[in-house]
Order: sequence, then structure tokens, then C-alpha cells
Amino acid sequence: MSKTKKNEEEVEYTGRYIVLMPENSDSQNSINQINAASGLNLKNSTEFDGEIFTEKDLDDCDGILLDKIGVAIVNKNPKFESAIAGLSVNSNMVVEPERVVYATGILESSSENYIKGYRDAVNSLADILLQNPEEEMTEEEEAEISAVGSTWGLKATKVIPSTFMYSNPYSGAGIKVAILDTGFDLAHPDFVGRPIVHQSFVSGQAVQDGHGHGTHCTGTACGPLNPTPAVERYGIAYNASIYIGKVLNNAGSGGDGGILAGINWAIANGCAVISMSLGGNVSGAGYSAVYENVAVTALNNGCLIIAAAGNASSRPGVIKPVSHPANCPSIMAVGAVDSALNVANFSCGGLFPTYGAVDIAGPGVGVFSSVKMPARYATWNGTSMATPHVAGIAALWAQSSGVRGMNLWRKLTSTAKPLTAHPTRDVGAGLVQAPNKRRILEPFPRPFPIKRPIPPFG
Amino acid sequence: MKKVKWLVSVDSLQYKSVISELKRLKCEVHSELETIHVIVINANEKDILKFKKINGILAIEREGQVSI
Repeated sequence: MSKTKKNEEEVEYTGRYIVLMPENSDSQNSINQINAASGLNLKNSTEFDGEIFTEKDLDDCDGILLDKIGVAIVNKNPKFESAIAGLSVNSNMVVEPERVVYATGILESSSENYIKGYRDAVNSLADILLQNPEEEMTEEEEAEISAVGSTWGLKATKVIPSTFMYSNPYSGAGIKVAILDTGFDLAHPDFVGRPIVHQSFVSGQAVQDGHGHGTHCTGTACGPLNPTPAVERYGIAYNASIYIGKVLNNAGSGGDGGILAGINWAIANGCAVISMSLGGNVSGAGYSAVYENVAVTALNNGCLIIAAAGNASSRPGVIKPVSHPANCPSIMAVGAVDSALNVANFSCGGLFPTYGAVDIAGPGVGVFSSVKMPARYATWNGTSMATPHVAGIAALWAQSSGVRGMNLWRKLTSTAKPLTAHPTRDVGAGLVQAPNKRRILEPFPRPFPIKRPIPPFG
Repeated sequence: MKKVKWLVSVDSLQYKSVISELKRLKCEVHSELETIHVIVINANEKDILKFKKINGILAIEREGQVSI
């Protein structure tokens, strides 16, 4: 049997152990601790020239600690097995048997394009690392970001301005984003030359936005890098493919049937993200089983539906539940915060333990974006404005990490900025954050908790 | 009795057979959203009780209104 055809369910072990050191531990102290506890003779990888060692070096001692990632490879030795097993109990270390891993069929079944793609990805990663491998963002970058003309929402969510494209090249290119709303002003000057796929699901009304709401939401999610005339940048995924589904009429309302038709159209067209700044009142307990089934189908098709939590609250006195259909467990519900990162007084909350949660928060007060002509721009409030922030950033993550569906959901929530001054009832995982050169290197969120994340490259 | 729109969520493996059965029962099918396994129908409440018994239908809900 070829190694590349190895059954994934057959787990093989090398006989060695992998030992994960406690967080912030000093590597030499860790070696001393292990050696003292187990009688082993471990070496530090720093003892080898360039920290490069071979299997033979490993055979010449009992194990080697990889200094930069806090992980030791320990040889099997029957004399010391109980001591090694005791490390996890007595020293807060994680001990696992080392697995045998195989290539996933690259040489047998892959095409030349796959190998080239792999090479390109490695080269791209190396380019990013070599620019600034240590810091997430320099003070100079932070300062210039503050000075660059963009909305407060783009700054708060770390959507990097154009002057920093060298450090964050993500624009949503190659990602299809659907905005299901009141349509779009197809003649808006900021979108001249931008290909826009559109479809109206409102009987008797063209996709042309007679309200302005859809144009505002589209502007935030997918507006241009350099809007004209010289106004601050307000759009996030400026190279994403825009899919406009008009599901609300020019008065701003519509039926579930039209919205579902829009979702169906977006998924059929391969959209990775659907932004829905809309909602209906919830009456009684529960959520729509129809929408929940649809949302699960969407996730299974690599499509994440993001919807507004609703604006029915009047805080601090009245907190209303997340509206329909954002209250479905498989639809990402977005709450709104202001520029001080306080919960917007109108933003609905997650009041029920098993459904209707707020999953994430976005900028939703004083949001500047495009509206239908002749007004061209306006500053509006609402969870409707927070939602396209999350949708645009979802497109950036989809581009940068390649993840889709539920994995994209996890990526957004695991990288959000915690807003510890506010309950998760109101902000979920926290304020949505755009990818940057550091974040794209972080380990993918794991399905099971681990004692600490392994730093990407030391 | 006035007909209104209803949203019908269907088991993906039985989508075609459910549509056939709805049509056999003289149901007015408004739209077929096959990608998301939903059928939108026009019907009155009395008929809905009958349709709910069709094998492969997961949920039927009356269409609601949403707004910005």
C-alpha cells in the first residue's frame, strides 16, 4: 500500500513523545525540570548550529527541545515511561505520542498546478514573514493608520488603508459577496467600472435602489479603495465580486419568500458571504426552522449568512431579543457598537440560552458610506450598518485563509477583539477584526481546547 | 379562505417527490428554490394541514414580513 493512500483512520505512532511546555516557560528551565523529573538527558535545539538537527542527533540523546516553539521531542525509553507520563500531571505539560504523518497524495494524484500553487503559497508566506516577522504592526504603522482618511469603523476593525497594502494585500479579490437588501444605485460614481451582478426579487421593481439602504450597506462591505471625490475610505472588500439581490422594496420591506429566493440565487452563484441587513419581529419562542435549514445548507455549500441582530432595544432600560432571521443558530447575528466601542443603545441582545445569540459586533453608529444619488454619501446608524462591516471582513478572511462556511464563521469569531466591558449577550465574540500579516499565521481554531496555542514562529 | 404564501423546507433527497406530491394535491407552487431545498407555495391554512403529512417535508411556516 502506498503511503500516500494511507487510511486516515489508521493512526500510527513513531514511539517517541511530543511534550508541550507550559506557557511562558523558559526553555532551559524546562529541560532542567524534565531531566530532573524523569532522569532523561534532553538537549536544547540552540545547542545545534542554526538549530538544525537530524534523526541521528536525536538518537544521541534522549530528546531535543525546540526552543522557539516550546515543544520537546522525547525518545521512547521504557525506563522513563512513567516519569514522562507524570509530566502532564505534575508539571502542567501536555504529553502526546508522536504520530506518523504522510503526504496527502500530492505525488500520486496532484497536478502540476497544485504543486505550483503550493510553491506560490510558501513564497508568499515567506515574503510576508521577511517584511516584519516579529511585530503585528509597528508604531509607525499604527500612527499612520490613524492619520489616513478612513471611517472610524475601518480603523477600529483594523482594515488596513491603502498605504499599507505591502503588509496587508487583502481586498476580497476572488470572493463573491451578496448583499440582499433594497438594491443598489447602479449609477453611483464610486462604482463606475466595477462589475456588479444583480437580480431583483421584488415584483415590479428593478434592482435600482429607490431607498438608499442597500447602497449604504454595499458601500461598507465592498466600497472602493479610493472613493472620489476626496472623501474618507469607507469600503472594505474593494476587489470582491459584488452580487446585488434586491429582496426589499423601495420602501424598505419585503417577504420571506423573496429573501429566500435571494439566498438561493446567491448560493447558486457561488457566493461565499451573504450580507442581510434586515429583520422581522419575533413573536413567541423559537426561531424559523425553514431559515435554519437554509442556513445549514448554505454553510455546507461554503456560504456564510450574516444578518443584523436588530434595532429594537432602547438601552439601558429595554433590551429586545435578536430579530428574525438572525436569531437562527446557523446565521451569524451582528450587534452594533459605537466609536467608543460601547454597545449601541438600539442593538438587540441574545436573551435565550440555546438560540438567538449575538455572535459578533461591528461598527454601527455614525457609519459613513455611499447612498443613492444625488446625495451620494450619508452617515447612518443601525445593526444594518454593523452587518456589512462583518461581511466585508469575512470576504478578506475568505481570501486570506481560504476558509469557507463554518470555518469562516470560526475564523471571524476566534479573531474578534474581545470587548470585556460588555456581556457576550450584547457583543458575542467581540468586535470583528480584519486579517493582517500576523493574524493569517495564527494556528487555525481547533475543535478541542488545548492548554495554550503554539506561537506561529517563535 | 384567502390563500397566503407559505415556506416549505424539504429533505434534499426528496425534493422532487415532494414537488410532485404537492402538484398532485393541486397545490399552487409559487417558486422552487432547489439549491436551498425550499418550496414557496400559495395555500390556505386548511390545505396546509394536509400538506404537512407529505413525506419529506421538514417544516412549513407562514411567510412573514421583514424590513430594513
